[in-house]
Amino acid sequence: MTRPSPPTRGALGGAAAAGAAVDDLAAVGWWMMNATSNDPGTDAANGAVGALNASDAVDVANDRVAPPVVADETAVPATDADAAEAPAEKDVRETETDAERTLRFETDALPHLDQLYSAAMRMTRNPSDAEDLVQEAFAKAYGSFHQFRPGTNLKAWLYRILTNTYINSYRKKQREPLQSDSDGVEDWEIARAASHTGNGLRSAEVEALDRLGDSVVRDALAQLSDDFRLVVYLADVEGFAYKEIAEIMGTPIGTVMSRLHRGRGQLRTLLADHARDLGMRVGS
Amino acid sequence: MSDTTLPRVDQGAGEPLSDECRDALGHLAELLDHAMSEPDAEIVRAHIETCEPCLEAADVEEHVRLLVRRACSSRAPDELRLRIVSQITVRRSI
Repeated sequence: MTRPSPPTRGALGGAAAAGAAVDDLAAVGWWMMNATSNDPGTDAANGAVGALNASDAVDVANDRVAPPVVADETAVPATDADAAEAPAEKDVRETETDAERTLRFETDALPHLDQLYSAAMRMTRNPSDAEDLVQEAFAKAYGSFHQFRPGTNLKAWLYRILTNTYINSYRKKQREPLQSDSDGVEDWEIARAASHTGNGLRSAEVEALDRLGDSVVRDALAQLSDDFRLVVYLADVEGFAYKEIAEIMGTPIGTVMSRLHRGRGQLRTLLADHARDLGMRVGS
Repeated sequence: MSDTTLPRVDQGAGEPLSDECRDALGHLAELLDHAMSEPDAEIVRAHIETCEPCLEAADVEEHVRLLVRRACSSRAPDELRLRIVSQITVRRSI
């Protein structure tokens, strides 16, 4: 997670987050004090903001423009296309052996496995496809690891490979849920501008959802369209900045912000509806 | 809740929003995303700190995000980890 977090919150993406207590929300205002710090570096791999270079984003974008004509699915965009512009630093790739590179991959990339698997679960919505997707993505990442420039954003690089692999190999097999222009978002936008509870949820309702457990939230997320679900995941779970998400998904930053806005709106609308149903049953 | 046709907006605090509240709520997501630049962010934070309904709205938004993070955290199966490691090892030895 790239956001400043209170000490009780634990590292994100690992098992620690699963058990993270929500009680610490009582510590109101922690985010206000820290909000100016864009990236406290809680995740080392996230330190290099915007490390993916522009040519990568273009490569990814091209993949997405013409999905049926996937020239080479294993082709992972090179990340050192503009290495010549970088200051002359020692690049470990120039001197390491294959065995050393493999060790570096195991040391640096493998620790992201849980996070990538979590993302793959949200993408494919079933464990079997998620495992296959992650294995394929890691195989590609390993095969292209010599192209990854050390010191740049490895986590974003891995996410981009995962996303590309998903788009090229899995997405076409799957049914699309909610249309992008789903009803409800406009309601949410109007409400957002008109009242303090415009996101449709009040404190008591979020607390009720909290007690219900994770499956409610997972089900609601699963109802979002692919693009919305992924962008919400990358922002709210992984804490990527808009610019990083744009590079991972190969879309303009404006598209990221618009999808994020609408995806969050849909998610909150679904959760609010669920909370209201619950309220009716409980009779509150 | 008996009247399901009630617009969502009417289920909230009720009173109309001030310009400050409207501005703060309109930028809330951006603020929590750390995507606002200073001093705009400071203006929004300063308002939220002194406005009870906006503070609650910010807390609700944070809480929802926390629920999403918690719900999305899975641990990769051990077999998958083993498969990936052995895949790498096999490719290395070729």
